[in-house]
Order: sequence, then structure tokens, then C-alpha cells
Amino acid sequence: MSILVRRSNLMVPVTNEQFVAGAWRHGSDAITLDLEDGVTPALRAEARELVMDAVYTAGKGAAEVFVRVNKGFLEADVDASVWPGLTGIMLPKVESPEDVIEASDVLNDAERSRGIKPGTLRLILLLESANAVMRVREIIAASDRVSQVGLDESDLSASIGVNPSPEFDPFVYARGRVAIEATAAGVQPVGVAYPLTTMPRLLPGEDMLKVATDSKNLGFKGIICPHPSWIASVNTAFTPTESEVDIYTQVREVFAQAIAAGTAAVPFAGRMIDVPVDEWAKVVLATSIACQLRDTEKQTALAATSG
Amino acid sequence: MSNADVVLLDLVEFVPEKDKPSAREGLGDVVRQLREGGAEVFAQVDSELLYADLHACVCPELTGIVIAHLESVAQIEEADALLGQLEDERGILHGTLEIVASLETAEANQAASQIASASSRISGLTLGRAELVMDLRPEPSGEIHLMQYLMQRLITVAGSAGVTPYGAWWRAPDRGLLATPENTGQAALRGRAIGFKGSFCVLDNQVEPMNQGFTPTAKEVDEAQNLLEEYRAAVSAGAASIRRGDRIFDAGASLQAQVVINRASACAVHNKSKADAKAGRPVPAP
Repeated sequence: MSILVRRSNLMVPVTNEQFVAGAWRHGSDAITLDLEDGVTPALRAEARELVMDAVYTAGKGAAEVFVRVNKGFLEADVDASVWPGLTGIMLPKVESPEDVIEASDVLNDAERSRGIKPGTLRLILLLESANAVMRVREIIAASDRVSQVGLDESDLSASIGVNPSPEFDPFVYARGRVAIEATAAGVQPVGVAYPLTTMPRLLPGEDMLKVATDSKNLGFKGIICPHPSWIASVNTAFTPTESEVDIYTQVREVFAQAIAAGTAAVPFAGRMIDVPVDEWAKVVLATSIACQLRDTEKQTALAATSG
Repeated sequence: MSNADVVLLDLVEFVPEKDKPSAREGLGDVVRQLREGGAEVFAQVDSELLYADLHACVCPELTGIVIAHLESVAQIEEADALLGQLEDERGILHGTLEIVASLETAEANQAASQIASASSRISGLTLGRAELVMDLRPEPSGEIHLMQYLMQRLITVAGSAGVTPYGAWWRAPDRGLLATPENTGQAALRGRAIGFKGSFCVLDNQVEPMNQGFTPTAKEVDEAQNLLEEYRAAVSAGAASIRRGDRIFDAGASLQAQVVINRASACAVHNKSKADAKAGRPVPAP
């Protein structure tokens, strides 16, 4: 079972020198250098010049590095971004499968000319309109490069003409649709529980941990973080806890014994353990191992760079 | 005379079968009179009685029809053809009469995307009496939990097709004749918060709360304007977002603010043209 661990993805405007320089120290699994909404249009050309060095800097802590490109300047932005150390592209405002195919074609060319193994650059897709939500299935199936997909609920609010109010979540349907379609397609859905998506804010660690846990319980596999203060809570929330690992280890043992004894359903710790629970136990344990590996990689990189 | 944006003349829910022939007679005169008062006029027609209902209501003063119990794309095509024919016969610009589709069944909701794009006349979608037709009765708590799913799906489908989603987030037993002005206002507010743009009501005293609920408040507009000014100043200084307390406002938030401001000014323009029409002043065509 190969499990992608991309729990936290820190967004950093590539033009913010200080943020870019410090991004790798915050322990996020991924860092996305923003060339899009986080960059004033007047600085766009200048921003592209900064990407190559920023990709290197952002990768110092073993984070995966993405660049959020402008859909309207795809070729120029990809051209500025495809350097060794880049994991892939975050493609915003995706409306159709054709958008994804176009991006994938541009990446094909960039891989070939820059000597990067074909097909390795990944895509994270952001859906920002009602139309994209309705077409999510075709959109994520359009390229094998698609690794994660999320809603930009802030832009989606504007797109459907909603002034979001914290009490009434307008995206229960859209979020659920994206989570289910993505999961079915083997693509990770990413996102955060309402209302933080439309109203991002800084929260005390404990509150952030609760929001991140709620997000995991909505089916998401990670959160795109607008601020480094989210990262630790997000990583914790999306990592199986010690007690979960403990319980699911026992679940696997108890279930194996039950099978050996000729039954496929057995009570354990107040629950009924059967095939789906055992399957879930496998996922939790594999996720735990994958998270440990990822954390070790990051710690090693951090130690090497600091030392 | 109420201050409604639209008067919907019903030929379906409130008219007993035996009274329908007389209700259809003289419907055109009623449409004309109401239109002079400044409201747009729609007629709610039965998806299975389109021929008789449309012949009764189509006139130059009619803005469009709401098709109740709409089931299929075929019914939209039938209505589209009939409206086209009547437009040609009755001196109405071809293709201008609008259709709002009322999706009340599981089939209709399943086919919502196809229905929404079945004719260029479709200007809106609504759920009608879906909770009754589909037997989604309220729980003892009074909530109809599946309505939230249906409403949000409808709003998403409408957004995707570029048509307007109509409805309010009612809470049982508030509906129709039972909804107090206050609860109507709350239903409108909740409806606006999830993306509805307007809703139907049946009593005069529900009109004002409905209008208010679906209009951004002065406070919202103020906040949006301040936010937008601050954001623009920050952007011209090279920043990508602004921080206010613990909130982060970025490009997405600025788009939302612009939406609030645009909506509020559209409502203000519309209110003025209604007032002008009432006062007998000339009103430009919508």
C-alpha cells in the first residue's frame, strides 16, 4: 500500500523574500510557491525570476515543492518553475478536463527540455466554480499527474454569489462531492472544515487541531495552509495517534485469530471487528508508517541543514 | 399593492381543477395590470397542461413561466417550442420569454444539469415542493435534513449552468401561509447565505422580509467596501493579503467583497425602477 503523505502544504508568495527564506523551517510536508493570487500582477514577471532559487530554498527541509501558476500564463509560469527539486504544479481555476490536459502537455514539454523523467511532475488542482464542482469526475480523470484536488471555497463563494456567514455552510454538497469523486478516483481530496476555507484565520493550536481533525473526518487527506501557524496542528491531525496505532494493531491480531478460528466477525474493545474494520486497520497502520518515514526525512534534512 | 420584484400568477397549486378554465380566461388582462405596477410577472404553469396554460398566459407583458412538477428535458423542449410559437403569433420577440424550472421529484433533481441547459430560456431553478413530493418529511426536530443536500446541489447546478437558483432555507413548520414575517426573513437570510438569490412567498407581509433577507445589509456593504479599499491599498504596496485581527484577507476575500457590493447596487437599481414604475415615471426595459 503506497500512501502519499502530503498533510500540510504551506502557501508562500514567491515575491515575499522573508517568507520564502523561512518556509522550509516550519515542518510542512509540502510548500507551494505562489505565482498567482499571492503575487501582485505588476510583479509577475519579476516573480518568475525568483522561482528557481525559491524552489531550491523551499526544498531544504525535504518538503515537496509546488508552484501555483496562473492559468492564463501557464507556459510562462511553467517555464519559470520546472527546475530540479520541483514536485509539481498547483493549477488553480480549473474548469474542464481540457484545462488539465493542457497543463499536462505543457509539463510534458518542460520535462523533455529540462531533462526530467517524463510524467513525474505532479498536479494539484483547485476548483473554484460551480461548473468545476459539477465536472470534478472528468477533471480529475484527465491526467495521471493529478495527485490532489481541492476547492478554493473563497473563490467559489464569489463564483456563486455568496457572502459566507460562519453559521451556514454553503458547501456541504460541493465539498462532499469533491471528497467522494476524488477518493473514488484514487486522488487525494484536500481542504479544511468550514468556515476556515472562506474565512482563513489564525487560531490557537488547540482550536486549529480541532478544525484540522474535523477536516480529516470530512475525508480530506491534507490542508493547504495560508500561514505557518497551521502546520503543526495539521500534521498532528492527519497522523494516526499512538493509541489508534495501538488499537488497530490489536484489531489486526484479533481478526487474524478469529479467521484462524473460523469466524470473520469478532467483538473487540466494544466494537465488532469484521473485514471492513480490518481493511481500515491496514490503512491506518500503513498511514502511520508512511507519516513516520516522511517525518524522519524532514527531520534528517533539517538536522543536516542546521548542522 | 405589494413591493414584490415578481408577481407569480399561479395556475397550479392554488387553483382547483374545476376552476382552471375560468382562471385561464382573462389571465392576460391580469398580467398587463400587474406589469403596470412595476413588478415582473410570471405565470406558474403545469408541466402536463402546457398547451392550455401557455395559451392563457402568454402576452407581451409576461416575463416568463415557472413550470411546476417539471420532470424531464422533453417537457422543457415542449414548453420551449410552444413559447416560441406563441411569441411569433402574439408579437413578442422570439426567445425572450423565460422559464424557471421547479424540480420537485427525484428524477427531476437527478436530471437537473440537463434540464438547466435544455433551453436558452431557462433563467432559474427552484425546488418547488420537493420535500412533500419526495416524501422528505421533517424529523421530530423539525429539520428536513436532506433538503440541505438538495438545495446546495440545486445551487451548484444552477451556478454551473449560469442560471439563478431560487429558494429559501425554510424550517418546519414555516412554509407558505404559516411563515411569519420574521421567520420568512430568517429563511431568506439563510437562503442567501448558501447561494439562493430570491424566493417565492404567498402573503403580502412576507414580501418585505423576503426582499430584505435577499439584499446585502448596509453593514455588509460597509465592511465589504472597507475591506476592498484596504486590500487594494495593500496590493498596490506589493502585498498579497491583509491581516485584520486573526483574519487573513486575500484575493478570494476581495472577490467576495466585490460580489456583495455589486449585489447591493443591483438591488438598489432595481428598487428604484420599481418605485419609478409605481409613480408612473418611465422605466427602461430590464
